[in-house]
Amino acid sequence: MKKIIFTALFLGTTLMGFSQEKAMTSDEKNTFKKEIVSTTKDIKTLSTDFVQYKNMSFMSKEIESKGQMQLSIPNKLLWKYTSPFAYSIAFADNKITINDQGKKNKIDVGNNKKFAKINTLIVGSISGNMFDDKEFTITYFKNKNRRIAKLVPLSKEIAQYISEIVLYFDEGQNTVSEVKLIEPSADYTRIVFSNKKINSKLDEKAFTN
Amino acid sequence: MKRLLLTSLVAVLLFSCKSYQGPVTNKEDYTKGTYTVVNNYFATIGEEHIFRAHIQIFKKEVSGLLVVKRMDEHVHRVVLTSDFGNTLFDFSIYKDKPYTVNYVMPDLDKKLILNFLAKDFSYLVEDTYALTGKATQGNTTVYSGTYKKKKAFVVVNQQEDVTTVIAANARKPKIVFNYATKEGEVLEIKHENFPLEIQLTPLEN
Repeated sequence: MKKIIFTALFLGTTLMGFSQEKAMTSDEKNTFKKEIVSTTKDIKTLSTDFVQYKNMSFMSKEIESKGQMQLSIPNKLLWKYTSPFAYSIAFADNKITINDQGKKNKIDVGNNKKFAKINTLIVGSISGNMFDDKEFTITYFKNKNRRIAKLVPLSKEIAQYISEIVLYFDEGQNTVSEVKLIEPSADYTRIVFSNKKINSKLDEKAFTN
Repeated sequence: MKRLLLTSLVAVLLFSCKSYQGPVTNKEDYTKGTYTVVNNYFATIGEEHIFRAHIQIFKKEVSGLLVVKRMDEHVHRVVLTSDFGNTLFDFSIYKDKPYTVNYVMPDLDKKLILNFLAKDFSYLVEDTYALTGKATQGNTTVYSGTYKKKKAFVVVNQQEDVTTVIAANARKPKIVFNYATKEGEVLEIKHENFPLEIQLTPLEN
């Protein structure tokens, strides 16, 4: 089964014209994993700006949102959108709080379940844990200036939401620079991180809305 | 006492038997005729509308982005995504045949909910109503008739913009659609007999 997924993925990516992407050799793969683990094991906090692009095949352009993300290891995470509207969601101590243009809420049924998964991944990818994840078939690629990890969910349940997650690491960086979440319909969301700060002091209050 | 009871009962019966006439008080206020009312809000082919959406269903609230686009003469695409981008549902709403679901998140994949939402959106994006009554109410004109086998009332302002569409049964309003006619206004869909309310704030993309 793994072989079929791998072959399909490989054929798919080749046919779709990402010819500049090359599979990593096993040496490259090991170095990549080692570098990420060694860089990220010292990370206590991370803050970054992000731009989110939602791509739908029937739309003429992507829908863009912007904001900041803050992460405090092991389990505090804040997504704060500033454009096109103010909205923030914080995960801390197993609680989710939302501030929607001043209106505060504890739980959002449409978002949190899946988002918890994405968080696990983002937290995992910067803390170096994701490569041990039993939930995905992971393949490794590189192109001219990026290293790329592609995660295909093994569980049918998760595959109903997300067919593939792609993590991009810019050259010289061992934390994620871009995440691409591909849906079963092939529509996708890209989140591009910039202005990353590692181990700067964060306001702990920011993690509760 | 008996008489009082009887009177109130008769009054209640009389009152509740009165058929619903939309924003207009009496049936007689409507002038009979054949009227075509055009709602331009979602009528332009290729125009892409993006809204910040709040949906309250029972006691739950879902927020996200709603995208509406008229693809061609016959079909509108209506998609709700969460704030994080993932698609919650994706409908094709046809003018002359039942809606189709291009994708729905497993948690929302319930026939009852999908039918309610699809029906709401089919009213929301409708561009032409053929109606049979016309009345003046203040600064507005109210048209009445039947649409999708239900009583329908369409309120039009002096600029000829549709401001409200009401779907009703014989005695009561069932769904009220309020359109935004000025910048900064919010579109609203409100069910009178089911706990479902949708608010759409237009966004610039």
